Amino acid sequence: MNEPHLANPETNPSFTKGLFCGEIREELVFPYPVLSAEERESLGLILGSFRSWAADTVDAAKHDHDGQFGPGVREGMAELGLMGLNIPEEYGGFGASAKVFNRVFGEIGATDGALAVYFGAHQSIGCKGITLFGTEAQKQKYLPRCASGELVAAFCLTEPGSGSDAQAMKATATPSADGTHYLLSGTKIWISNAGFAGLFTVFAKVPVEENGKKKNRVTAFIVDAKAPGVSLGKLEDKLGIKASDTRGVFFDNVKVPVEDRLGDVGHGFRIALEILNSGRLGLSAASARGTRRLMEEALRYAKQREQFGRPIGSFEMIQRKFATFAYETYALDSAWMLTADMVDRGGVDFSLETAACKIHGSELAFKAASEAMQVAGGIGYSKEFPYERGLRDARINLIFEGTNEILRALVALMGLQQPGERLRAMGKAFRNPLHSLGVIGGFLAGKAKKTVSTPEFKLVHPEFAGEAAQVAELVKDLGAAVERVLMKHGKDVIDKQFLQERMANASIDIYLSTAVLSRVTAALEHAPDSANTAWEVECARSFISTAYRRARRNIRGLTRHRDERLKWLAERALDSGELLPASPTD
Amino acid sequence: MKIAVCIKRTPDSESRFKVASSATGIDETGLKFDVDDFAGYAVEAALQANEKGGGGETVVIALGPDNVQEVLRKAMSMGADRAIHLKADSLPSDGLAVAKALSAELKDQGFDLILFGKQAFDTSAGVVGTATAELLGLPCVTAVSKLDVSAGQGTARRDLEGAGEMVSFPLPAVVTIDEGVARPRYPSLKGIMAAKKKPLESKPAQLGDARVTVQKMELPPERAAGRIIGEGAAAVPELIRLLQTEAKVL
Ligand SMILES: Cc1cc2nc3c(=O)[nH]c(=O)nc-3n(C[C@H](O)[C@H](O)[C@H](O)COP(=O)(O)OP(=O)(O)OC[C@H]3O[C@@H](n4cnc5c(N)ncnc54)[C@H](O)[C@@H]3O)c2cc1C
Repeated sequence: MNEPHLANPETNPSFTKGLFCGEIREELVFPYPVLSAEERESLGLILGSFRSWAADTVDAAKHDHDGQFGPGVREGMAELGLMGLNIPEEYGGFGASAKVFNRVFGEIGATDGALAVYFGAHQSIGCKGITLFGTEAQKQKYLPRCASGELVAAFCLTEPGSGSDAQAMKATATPSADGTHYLLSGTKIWISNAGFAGLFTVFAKVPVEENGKKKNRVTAFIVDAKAPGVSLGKLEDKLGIKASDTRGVFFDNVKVPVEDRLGDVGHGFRIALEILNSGRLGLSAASARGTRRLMEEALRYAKQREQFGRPIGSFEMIQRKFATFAYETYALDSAWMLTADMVDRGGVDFSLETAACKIHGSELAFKAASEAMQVAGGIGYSKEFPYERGLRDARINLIFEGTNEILRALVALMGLQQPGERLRAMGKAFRNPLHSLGVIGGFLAGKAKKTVSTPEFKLVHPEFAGEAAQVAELVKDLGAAVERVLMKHGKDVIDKQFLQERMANASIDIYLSTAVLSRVTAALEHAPDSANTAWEVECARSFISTAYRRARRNIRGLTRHRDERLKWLAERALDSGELLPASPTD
Repeated sequence: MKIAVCIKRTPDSESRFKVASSATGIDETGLKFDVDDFAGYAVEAALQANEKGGGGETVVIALGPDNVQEVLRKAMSMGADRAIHLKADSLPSDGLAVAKALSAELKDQGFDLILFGKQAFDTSAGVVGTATAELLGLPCVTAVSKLDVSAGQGTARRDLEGAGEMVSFPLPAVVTIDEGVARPRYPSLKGIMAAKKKPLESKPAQLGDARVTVQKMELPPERAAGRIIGEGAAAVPELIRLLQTEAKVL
């Protein structure tokens, strides 16, 4: 049995957690990763095959209109072998690295958002648990059929009463008296791929007795979609990714053989988190590629559309949009690729980095879709052009695989764990912040001792010494501000989400800036004179100076803020049910 | 049936091309390369012929520097069984020199059929296939859009301007392939994995003397900008006059 391990904070170092301690763990982010020649060639072939096939087969606008995939689409994905892209070779898949997998994910996402969700729900989360935590027998039994596309997989975590608070799930799996199987009952909702699925990864609580007390422990199961007692709800009518099949899945005393329990009893929650940890990266890679694709559509339009006797692309308000999304997407590309390499390297805790990429990517792509629509003007609003679908499809990424609020809380609270421990007393409460969001106990006490030396980058190319110093300054200031916050609020910081949001945002900007420093250093070292490097340098400088200003503001806001006022406004509105005072005309 | 397909690595036809600073070729930086379009059709034709015939061997051959191994592996990921790389520092512009190296490799190997693309996208010369047939003393059918082979005999369709021509020929033979024969298949992930384990033999090319060399490459002259003569019906007489006297098209 494989223990949940990938993001194990006890053994594996994390770059972002280091930031909260005022440290730059440079060895985790340098040198910038490159694809091996062999990987690059395979990737080129895979992308080539996908593009040629998609050009003939995938009509994203029609899928959106019809709310379903056209004939041959799902079959084609299987025939190409894409359903097994990240399933290991020994189980009939391609065994792609995270770098290759996410690049392909991006391509699919930029082509058709619904198809990317089909692909991701299957592989990033649907059967990923078997790859990560399955026994040899489970892998042999299921993965080859998942890889061939014969079995489409889906991931069943969310319930009506349990979304962000996954621990609150009600589904139960009761062991049979003879110990041969479990009886699974419960309702899962919002399940992507439900209608296509042959296999569900389901999370449910198993009753156990620990020290004479009855407890319910979250546990993962592999469930045959055809098993008696499994039924499906009606298709959800959604804003976007319409061809993705989303439904409720109902389990009524479904017999699940003990051999199909995934991992140990009580490991389910960590298994779910780890699956989502790596799964999230696909969403950011798709956001990056989708932003590039839609903005390039807008670019073509801006060159050709004339108003006031000149192309609209010559107006600076339009140019500002292209420039912003050029450097922001450059940073996102830099970060997801660096993070994918952490996944491939192993032994690195990448949980906060994938969250950072997902948050930044999903918000960037949604804004980009809105700005691309703005560039297109009236036609941007029309269904004849891809902008409005892009806008609708991009919106889901802020909600699923952990809402951006939950992920910001995750980044902040996991980040606070080590400085909290350094300030002693904090220990346990932070060890599993999602687990204990509502029930955290423990104390925060003691004065902070400055043990950390001034953080600095030693591996950044000299041309970026100035930017490196700026980012290092942010790290130092974040570390110091975090200490002050902890000393002031102690364990109450758990409820200080105004602060958590700023910490998360600052650390995300610092991580992205670091990824940019790493990437542009590699470019300057390997191809100092190329035109492409010069272009990268411009993106890098623009991003870091923007991110620096944003992060500064967020860090300052950790100690100087008007949160009491914001809280008053929000609570006033919540109490009265009215958002604001009556308008002058009321 | 034992089929050889000679394939060339050429830049993607949708690229934007620049003349290199040497002024005798294109600037290759940033270009994407692939199996030449017609050669891709030829690979597909070979694979289908062997699938229909219930087996056989498809061997792909490419001549050039190490980077041609990429296109050989792509052809193997489509389904070719093995590959031969004839190593040369560069590809001569003299098609006959290339044909000599290919025929030296192909002779005495017992191929029933040797396929080429009808011409390569980058040079549009169409020399290598026919010259190889001549050097091997084999019958040659060019620009074939439909191919059937069985039991020592081949039939092919050639599309002419406004007509089709059906030809038959004995095997072994050399056939150059036009599009229309069958869309090249996309390499599947399985195919890409399998290709990594298929044999790729690399050996020096026995090139013939290159007697043709490119002296200069230039882009077509820029077209003069359009001219607006006037608007609406009032402009028509002037337009007609200019079309008659200046453009001389009426
Ligand atoms: C199209 C689609 C596909 C999906 N696919 C799947 C799937 O395949 N499998 C699966 O299991 N689930 C799936 N989901 C479910 C999705 O993951 C959940 O909707 C999501 O986790 C949020 O849960 P919820 O909807 O219950 O919202 P809630 O948890 O009720 O959240 C509502 C709002 O409150 C915020 N919030 C909640 N708690 C906190 C907190 N502690 N601090 C601050 N803010 C908070 C949230 O961020 C959100 O803004 C899918 C959803 C959709 C829409």
